[in-house]
Amino acid sequence: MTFRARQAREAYLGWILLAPAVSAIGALVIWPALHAVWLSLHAIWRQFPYSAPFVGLDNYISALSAWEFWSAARNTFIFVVSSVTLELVIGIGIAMAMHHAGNARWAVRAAALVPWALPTAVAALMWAWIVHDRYGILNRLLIGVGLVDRSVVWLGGVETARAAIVLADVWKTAPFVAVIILGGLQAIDPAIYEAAAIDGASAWRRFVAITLPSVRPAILVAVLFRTLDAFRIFDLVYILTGGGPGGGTETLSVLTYQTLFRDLDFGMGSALAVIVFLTSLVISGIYLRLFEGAQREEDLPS
Amino acid sequence: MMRPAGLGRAIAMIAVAVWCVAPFGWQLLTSLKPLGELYQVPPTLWPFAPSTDAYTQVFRARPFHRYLFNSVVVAGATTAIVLLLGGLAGYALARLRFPGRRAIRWAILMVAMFPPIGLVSPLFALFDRLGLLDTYAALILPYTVFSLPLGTWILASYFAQLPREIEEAALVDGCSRAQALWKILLPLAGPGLATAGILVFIYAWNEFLFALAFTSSDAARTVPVAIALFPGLHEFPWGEIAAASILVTAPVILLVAILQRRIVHGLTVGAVSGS
Repeated sequence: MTFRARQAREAYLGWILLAPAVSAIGALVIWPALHAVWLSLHAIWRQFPYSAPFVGLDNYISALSAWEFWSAARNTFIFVVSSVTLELVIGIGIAMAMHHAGNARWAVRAAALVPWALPTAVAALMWAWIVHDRYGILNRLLIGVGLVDRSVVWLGGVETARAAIVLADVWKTAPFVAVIILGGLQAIDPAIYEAAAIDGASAWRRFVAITLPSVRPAILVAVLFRTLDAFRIFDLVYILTGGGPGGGTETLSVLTYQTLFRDLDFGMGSALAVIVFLTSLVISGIYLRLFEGAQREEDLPS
Repeated sequence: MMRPAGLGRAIAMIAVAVWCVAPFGWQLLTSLKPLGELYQVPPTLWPFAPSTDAYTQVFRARPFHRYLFNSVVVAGATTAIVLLLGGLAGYALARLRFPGRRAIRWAILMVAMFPPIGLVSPLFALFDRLGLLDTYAALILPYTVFSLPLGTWILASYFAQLPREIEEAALVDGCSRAQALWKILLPLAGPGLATAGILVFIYAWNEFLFALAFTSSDAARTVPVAIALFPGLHEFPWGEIAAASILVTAPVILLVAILQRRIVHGLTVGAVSGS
């Protein structure tokens, strides 16, 4: 067989093997995404699915001029920034503990995977019970150590409800961050630490000068995934607070879902959905740019 | 390596373990409390007279076995389909050269980053038209595409590290590429399939948004949505919620304990290939 013929056969086989996956993605992601754009340009009510007058950008205009949208956007932003930051800090801590656990590594790792493996819906109900104002253990602990002198109604106020959501989310996802960062930690040559220790560098100095720069790519990966995931948060908010009190914790995904299935407004709901996925796209674009920058830096001969 | 401070290390480990496991432990204790103890103010830590009433109630008052069955069918079918499609695609991406490879990699990355809420309305309309709402297919189809990127990446990275010589030897011996994949590489890919399989299974087992939007009865409703709908108009059955939570989580935790090495490896590969 000539080289050219062999190459053609390889390409042919490649496309055959990819065909099922590619058609699934085409039929269930790409086509529906385009359909969502079509829906968003029409006035469609779930009760009357067969009349769908074209309304141009009306849905977008009314979505973007409603205070609910901006309030949800703000809530989502606050949530993303506070929970990703905390997850990163706690995730690095957990990763260090796992990395230095020696023989007990398997036990720490198994414990850390528990929050990650739980269904978010279950985690949400679990935390709802923990922060319950009357029967919850959190209030009892806080009163016990004297941090508060009477029960806090966690889900009754906007600030405390936000705190409860962030707490539950950080608990659930910091282990994921830790696992990604652990991968970076394990790639560091122990000889570098020894050399630094001989040179008299303190533990903190070694952490800042060796550990952090070495795990920077892993941190970027973890932050990218967590940002995208936090941006689309739905389960936790929907179950823990339902977006309340008074819409104070409603995020963009929850608002979109409620517009679709409570207000039964498919046109407007689809417009919100398109806004969410375009924003997601922008976030991933920014991060991928950062990555390429970071990689180029590393590729440079030093 | 230097002698580390043993005590500090032990404290850090215990702190991590407690932080990760304690909330779940509290749920376990809650599930074993009889009603009277459940609603005690202030709450007590240990159940005074442990009872399994909440567990029997979960099965007696609701079709919980049905939800469990639905979850098993949906997660099992999703895993099988993703391993098949992802295995074929992963092999092609890892081993074959052909035009359009980069475009495919991009498309897969885009899917991995796509927010599920963006597809709820068009998929709802699609499934409505096809009469698939409230069936297993309405969950298996979206779960398959949303976990396909992870499955493909893990399997591609696994195929990429198998030595090429094995396959070349088979080709020289007169096997076609397809035969080499089926007879030689697939049996060797066991660990890769296990890693991808466990992660996909856990994703499908836990998924909430699509399951909430696309099911409306017990016909296809999976456990996470069923538990979230436990609270009625006037009552919040915390004991039953706790018992059901333990029941749905126990298999996952068992898998995690046995397969933790693979899970950690798979998560790292998934995240790194994804970027």
